[in-house]
Amino acid sequence: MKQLSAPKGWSQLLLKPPATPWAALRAAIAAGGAATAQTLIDAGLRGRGGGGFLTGEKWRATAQSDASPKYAVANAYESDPAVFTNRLLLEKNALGVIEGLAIAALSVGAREAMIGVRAEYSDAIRSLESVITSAEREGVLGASVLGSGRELTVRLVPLQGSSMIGEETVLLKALAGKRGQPEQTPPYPSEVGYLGKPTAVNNVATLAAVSWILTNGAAAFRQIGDPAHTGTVLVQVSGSTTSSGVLEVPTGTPLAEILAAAGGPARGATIKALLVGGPSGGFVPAQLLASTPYSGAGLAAVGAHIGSGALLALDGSVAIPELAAMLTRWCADEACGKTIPCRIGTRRLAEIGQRFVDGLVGPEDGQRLQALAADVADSALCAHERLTPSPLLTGMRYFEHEFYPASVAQTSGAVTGRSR
Amino acid sequence: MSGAQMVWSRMTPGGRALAVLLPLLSVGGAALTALLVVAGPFIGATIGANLPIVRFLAASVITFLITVPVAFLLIYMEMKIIALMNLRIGPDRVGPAGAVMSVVHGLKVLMKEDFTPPSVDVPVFTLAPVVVYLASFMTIMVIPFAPDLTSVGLEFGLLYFFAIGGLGVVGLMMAGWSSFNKYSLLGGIRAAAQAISYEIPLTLSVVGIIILTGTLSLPKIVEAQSGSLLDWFIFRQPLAAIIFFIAITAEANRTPFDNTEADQEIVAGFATEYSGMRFGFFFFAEYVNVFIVSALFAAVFLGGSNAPINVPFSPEIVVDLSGLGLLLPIAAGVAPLLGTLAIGLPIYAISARIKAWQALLAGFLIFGALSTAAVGFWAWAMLPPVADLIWFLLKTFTLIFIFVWMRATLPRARIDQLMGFAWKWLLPASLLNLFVTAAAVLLTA
Amino acid sequence: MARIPGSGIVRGMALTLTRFFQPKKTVMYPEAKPDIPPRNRGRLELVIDERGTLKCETCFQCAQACPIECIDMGGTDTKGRYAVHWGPAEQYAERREESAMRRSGRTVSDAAAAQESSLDLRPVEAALERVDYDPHHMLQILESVQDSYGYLPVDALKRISRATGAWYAMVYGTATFYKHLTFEPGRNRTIAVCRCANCLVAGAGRVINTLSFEFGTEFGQAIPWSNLRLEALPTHPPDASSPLVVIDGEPQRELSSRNAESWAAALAGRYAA
Repeated sequence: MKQLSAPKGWSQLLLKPPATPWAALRAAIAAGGAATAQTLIDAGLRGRGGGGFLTGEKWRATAQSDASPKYAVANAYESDPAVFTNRLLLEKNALGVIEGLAIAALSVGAREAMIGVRAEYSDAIRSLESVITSAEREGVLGASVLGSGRELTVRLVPLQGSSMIGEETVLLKALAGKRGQPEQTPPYPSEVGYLGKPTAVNNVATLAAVSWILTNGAAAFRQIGDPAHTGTVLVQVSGSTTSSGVLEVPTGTPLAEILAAAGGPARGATIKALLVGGPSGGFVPAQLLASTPYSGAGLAAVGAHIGSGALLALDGSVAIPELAAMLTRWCADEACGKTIPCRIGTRRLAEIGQRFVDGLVGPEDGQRLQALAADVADSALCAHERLTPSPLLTGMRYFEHEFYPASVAQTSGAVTGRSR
Repeated sequence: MSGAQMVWSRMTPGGRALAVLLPLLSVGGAALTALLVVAGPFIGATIGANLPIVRFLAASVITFLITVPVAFLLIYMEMKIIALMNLRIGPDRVGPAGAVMSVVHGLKVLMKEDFTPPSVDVPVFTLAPVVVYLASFMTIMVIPFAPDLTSVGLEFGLLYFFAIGGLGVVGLMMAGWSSFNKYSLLGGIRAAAQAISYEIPLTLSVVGIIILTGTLSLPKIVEAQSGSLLDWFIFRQPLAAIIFFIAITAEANRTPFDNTEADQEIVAGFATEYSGMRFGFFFFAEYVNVFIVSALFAAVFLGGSNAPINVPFSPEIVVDLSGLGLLLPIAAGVAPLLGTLAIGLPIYAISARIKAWQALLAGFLIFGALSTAAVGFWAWAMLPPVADLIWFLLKTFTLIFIFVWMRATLPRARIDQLMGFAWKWLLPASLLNLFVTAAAVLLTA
Repeated sequence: MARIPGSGIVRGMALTLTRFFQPKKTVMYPEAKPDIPPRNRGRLELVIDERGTLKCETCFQCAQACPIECIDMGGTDTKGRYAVHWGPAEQYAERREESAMRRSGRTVSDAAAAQESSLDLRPVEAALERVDYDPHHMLQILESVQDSYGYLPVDALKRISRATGAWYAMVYGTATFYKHLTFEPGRNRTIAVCRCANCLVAGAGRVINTLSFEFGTEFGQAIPWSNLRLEALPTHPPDASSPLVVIDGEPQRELSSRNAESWAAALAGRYAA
């Protein structure tokens, strides 16, 4: 599990524990909840879990909700099986994450905070547990946080059994011991969350950034990365690159630069496309790599999204239709089954994708795919459903010649072993 | 088991029914004929001595008896005709083409719980349906079904009709008031207001006819229309006919003037607190009322029992039965049997699938239909009252059809629209009709 | 409004009269059946499939999902060992266990709770004690129970429902959703194939297809006549190679993207024999 070294000029905030433990927490207690939320809004911190909402706004909405008690939850569950950015973060900077969570809890007025983490991350769990135990011993957590009189307990909840748990409403249901099926939003978790009470749910990377912001100031954070989507993001590069691992990337960095930071294409390979965002991500073809910045808006313009933070480099040996079909099949299998368009629509999408692969595509299949993808995305209750059509749609958008045998580019069928 | 029991146990239900009916009918028919032959003169003498009383009793009983089947028939007609006009079929499972449906409704109403709400005024509550029914029933007495078939041929029949008919209003008010329910009271008051408002155009419109004929007696009014088709008052007093028609629609609480009893308006109006047979009584009375006002219209405006065309020939069918003597009862008993067999045998022979009992039953029914038709034709030809009655009923049922047709078509009038129409339009119109008629009579006298 | 007073009435009545003589639209059921679309659901009832078995699996999810709690269900397990009958508490005699009332305020039906169990429920009690009978820690309870027994016995679920006050349907729903919980006793060996994007690019698809074909089973299901299950690996350990297959917790080292198919065929050969 490697962390790649970043080029000069890229700020590295998240993967180092704070220099002075609990300084940010002290600052937050002194400033109060409203001021802390305002600091975050000034810093322009957006959620790193894929939602992209302003964290400060979320906290303010939760704090202003009438119901009580309130909760704070850290989402350390990574839906993408291949990505270990959160795992690395938790192992290296558990202190920052816990501090961020404590700040979140105190800002919204919660007395109980939970961290939902993958049960398979045994090292991460150990490091979190040790931080929590030592924090309790030092009086940072417990009946009176740093002597302020506010009470806070942090509970670590290992979860497993479904990859949907990474979605925030599903996480809240799993924490409550219920079936992991998402709820309709709005009402957002800031109104109706854990056990129906206002809950602030944040990704652990966001919480680590919170800790940094309160120590170093909102202005400093604002300088980093894309002005619309400030700060750094943890990205995992893999595939046909020279080296693969986790990189902390300032937002707005062009994809080509990220690739270069990972050492560029592997020896003898030419990158055909990047799969950006994980199994439900979008293909970004080689020609767009230099011009596409890694930020929410920049990626949306080309049909991709940040998603899980994965960047998979694909070389010429990969057949896009086959990969897209298998990814769609994975998404369909992982679906929780709550809504009919997701449960059945994604399966149909996977079938259409497979028909393209097998060469059995019918004349209306292309149109049917577009229509079905539009319906599935429109009716989506959660991001999983909304993003499932992305591989097939972006694949058809940029690699149409591979989907339709008219002008066939010979591929060796690296994915499924079948050549056309 | 004895032989008879063995035979009985092997018979089909149809066979059993026939085995009971045929002998019973034959024997009964023969016995009755014998009785008539033997005791006939004596009975005739007694009746002759007390003719007025007997006649009155018979008229009352028959009148009472005809209201029941008439109401059932009307209910069935209404359901069926409205359905057919609504492009659906209406009752068609119960009995042939659903004919037994009214009977079923009647039975249903009888079987419902007869509940008197605790806070009602019990004597008034109980008597209200009786009053409404009686008001309708008593007016049948003066309807001229045929020249010799009027129950009570009063000299002031028309006046009697309107007077007694107005008593129905009292019944409605009693129902509305005693129900101890705001909405029933409103319904009762509205019904009363509606009835009273339309009484005036009703009575004023026939004054023209009274002027023309100079009499209030209904049989005489019918007689005044004998002659030709154009003598009918509908052609001589068209405006009066229209006003009268509208007024009787309102009096009978029919659409478009059924505001007081329509479900969508006020639950069941004055009848809300009634259930079971009492409720049935109100609506029974209403259907009888419809029949009566149609009959009145037919009598006063459509020539009553006068045929529209004079049949040029009058067949003389004389059947002289007195010469037969004792043969008559025997023939009366044997004729059905012979007829059934005569018709049943060919039917049995037609197809191998027809069973014996089916053939016999068919034969019996066809014989019954044929003999009824024959007797009916003889009656039409030889007994003037029968022909007259049939014409009268035809006209009445045409009117009833028109009422049902209006119910299927027209929307309901609002209570204020209905009252306004009566006072602002019908009253002046009927007065106008009256003046014009009077002027015409004076000028041509 | 009609120009001539009464002309509207006349036109209306003319229309109904013509309708009187027109053919009627009534469909004379049951002699003639109406034309119903093929996917019409009609009356809600339990359906039987073409083999005569009831399609309802008594998964209780309809009862759990119903917002007005009007569904009542009963079922017997396939071996006829026990019956479960759970519906809204107010339909049955209620039972209030102190722990259930304290935690969730929900009463629990007595009839279903009264059945005796032959199972030793002490591990269940211990698991419940650890979370203080809080139904919000259902996953933790279920995982402890599964660790103790190796699977989730139905009697344990009933005991959990009774003690925590959570609806049985809710407990059952949670137990059936998460893939690491199982109702089947007997240790199952799993052949877990990773399906992350990296492994797919490296040839995991070929491994899956070969294994499905050789074992004659769908991916994600048990392999017939064996105690093997072919399933997806939930997460790809960071330093493991691609493609990745884990058997009984052991990552298979001889597998690489070049020999994916032959390796899978060899594996199938070893186990299918």
